[in-house]
Amino acid sequence: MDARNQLFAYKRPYDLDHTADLFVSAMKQNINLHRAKCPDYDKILAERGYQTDCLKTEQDLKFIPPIPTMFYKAHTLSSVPDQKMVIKSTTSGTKGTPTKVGLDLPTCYYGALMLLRILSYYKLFSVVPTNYIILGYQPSKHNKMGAVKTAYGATFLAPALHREYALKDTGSSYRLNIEGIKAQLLRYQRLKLPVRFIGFPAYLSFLIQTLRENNIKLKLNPHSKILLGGGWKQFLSEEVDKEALYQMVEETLGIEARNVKEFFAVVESNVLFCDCKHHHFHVPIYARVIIRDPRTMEPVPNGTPGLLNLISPLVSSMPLGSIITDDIAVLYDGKQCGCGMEAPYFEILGRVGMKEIKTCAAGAGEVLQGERR
Amino acid sequence: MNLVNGEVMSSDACDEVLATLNNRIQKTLAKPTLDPAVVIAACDTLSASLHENQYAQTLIDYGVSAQFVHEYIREAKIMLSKEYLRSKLQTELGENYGTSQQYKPSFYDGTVDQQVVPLGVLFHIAAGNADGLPVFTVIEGLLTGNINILKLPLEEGGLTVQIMLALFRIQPRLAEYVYIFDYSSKDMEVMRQLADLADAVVVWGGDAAIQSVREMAKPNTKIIEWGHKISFAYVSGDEIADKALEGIAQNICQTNQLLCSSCQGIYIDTEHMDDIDRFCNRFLPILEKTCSLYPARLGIGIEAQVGLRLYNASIETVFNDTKIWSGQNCSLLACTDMTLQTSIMFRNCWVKRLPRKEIIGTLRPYKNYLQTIGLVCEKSEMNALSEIFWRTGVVRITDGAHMSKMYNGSAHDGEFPLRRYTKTVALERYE
Repeated sequence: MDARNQLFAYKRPYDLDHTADLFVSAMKQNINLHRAKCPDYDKILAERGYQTDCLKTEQDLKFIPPIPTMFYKAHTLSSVPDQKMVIKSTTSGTKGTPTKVGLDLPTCYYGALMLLRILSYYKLFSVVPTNYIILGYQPSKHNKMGAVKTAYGATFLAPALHREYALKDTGSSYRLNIEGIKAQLLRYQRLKLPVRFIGFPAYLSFLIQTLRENNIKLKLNPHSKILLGGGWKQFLSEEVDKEALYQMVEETLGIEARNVKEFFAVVESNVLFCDCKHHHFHVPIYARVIIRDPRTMEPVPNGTPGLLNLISPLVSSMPLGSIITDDIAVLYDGKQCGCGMEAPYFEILGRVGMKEIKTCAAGAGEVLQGERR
Repeated sequence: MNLVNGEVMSSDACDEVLATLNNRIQKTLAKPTLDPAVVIAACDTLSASLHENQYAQTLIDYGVSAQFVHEYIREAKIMLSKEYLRSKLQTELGENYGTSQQYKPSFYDGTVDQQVVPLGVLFHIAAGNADGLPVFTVIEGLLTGNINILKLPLEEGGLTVQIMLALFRIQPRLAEYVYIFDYSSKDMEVMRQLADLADAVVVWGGDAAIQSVREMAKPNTKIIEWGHKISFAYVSGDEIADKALEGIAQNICQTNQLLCSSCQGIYIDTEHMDDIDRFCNRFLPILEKTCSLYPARLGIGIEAQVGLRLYNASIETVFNDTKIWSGQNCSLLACTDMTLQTSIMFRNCWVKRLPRKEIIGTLRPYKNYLQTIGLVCEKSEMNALSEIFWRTGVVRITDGAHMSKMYNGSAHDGEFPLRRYTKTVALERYE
């Protein structure tokens, strides 16, 4: 029986205890598949003396040699022919070369199952017609950024009446559409239907600021939601106060903090992390998280910051089973959260590097300040 | 922090200043040219007043790392002294700067009064990678009698404004020649407005900064570019003294490979990878020892970046045959290619082959990016190797230890800044 199939068909997305064996089997299957189909990946593992047979329990996951996401920028590793990649996404590539990630049909299918489970767990599906404010780019032929597709995809969680974009497509570039958003928000308020905001936290913060400067206070439908993704702290030294922003959101839009949902995902792993009512990212059954000491690459104890290593058997088109992202994160014991979930949760502290190293969200910040992209 | 006419201003007040900036500048322009002697005297008094015990803590508070404070204050005292500035002025602009030269050109009727004068207004866009740079670019502008508008780098901390205030307390006449703003360089409208007021934009920074200034400035605004450069060491010959290699190691550790003049990697004059291995075996302990003399305190962001890049390099060895020599706090990457590249930085340096017959072909593509070479070779070889390197676009050759040090009168990236901030005008008479 296909272990990935069983894992992704499992009904409780945060029940890690009862799915540990399944996860390990699925991982083993995933690594073996990629070793067989992608000779370069096999070479990397062989060079490090890794034997897949040694993967027996969750404790052994840390021995799978993790591949840094930056590696994929310089090397294409794939386990299926190009024509089988039904979805192709790129990272925003604000700095350097963007990474191309291709997904085959089974990956998309299991990815969709995962989305379904996680989003239903947090009750994010709705049948009530909804108006959308996209705090990001309008989809277009000249933009293949994963974030654009995700934001657009998210407008299908509840039937969309209308979508207004913060960055409107002008055919070759984008322009900031503050006036359009203000006008639509006032219209949406009159319609009294739920409103959903989707996009980067930096944009939300900017929108709230602008509304406050214009003395606009709204009381949107109480079932309205804000769905965020894309990083808070552009740089380690910059503290963005999440609670303060959520407080302002409540005052300005009339949307309670519990209706602000934040997501975390990287194009290279495709696993979706969604925050709980205490705004923490708990690890779902589809993934495991290991934090590693940047000097030794050894796992560090919970509570210690380090590099984020994401492990998941989701993707069958490319060897992305164990990757290290550019994020610095801390993992905590699930019980510490207090929301009732026992799955461990992590917090993203920032990106590696100095201040000039930028993320998608930082790129978004540049557009806000008037730079042409 | 913003500074206008010697007064610290809030961002809101600055918006008002912007509207009247043109008028303010015109008023100053109508006055007689600023005498360099006035600037030099003020700087010299400032230099004498820079006492380490008084300024060390201030510098640390403004974000300068403690291990460099002593060195910075010593350098600043020198660079602001009248001896240094006079000699700089003389080297760059000649004995007769400030006076007009009258002569009758041959094959021509009239008499000519020729004179070197300031460009007028300079708009400096300073980079954030070198502490104190914004101050020195403004001082160079003042020395040549220009009005200076300075855009501070992001998160500058306020040091520049404090130093300028100290300078204006000594010589209040200078205040109207300096405007400091901390607008973001992403605020294109303001940037364009400031550039339009200037005779020249002086831009410090990477390719992106320079590109955006080129796009922003109108054709009648001159652009003076101080772009990012790359530097490396070149080792040739069999009889290399440890001391010469220690010099390279010193530069790597003292600058953490962050400056344009920092050693990113080491080229060896050989065709054989065996020589590269031998060199790494010898150099790693030297670099390791030097690291312990200059302990680095890296934040987690930097540490994570370095760790990740090194780990990535170790994975890439499967495909590119690079060998990694790892020390406690440093590493050497012995690469099989000859491509010039930046290093992982923070004491992680590449070592590659570059036989001298391939120098020009390998380095030419990097014209205008090349700056300093830390040359380690036999004395008798220095001239011959230098001649080859000049043809690639390199502008400075020194030993490893001096790569990031500047001598008085040295050109910057192959040019004299003061010459770029001035122009030659002629008054012709026909009787």
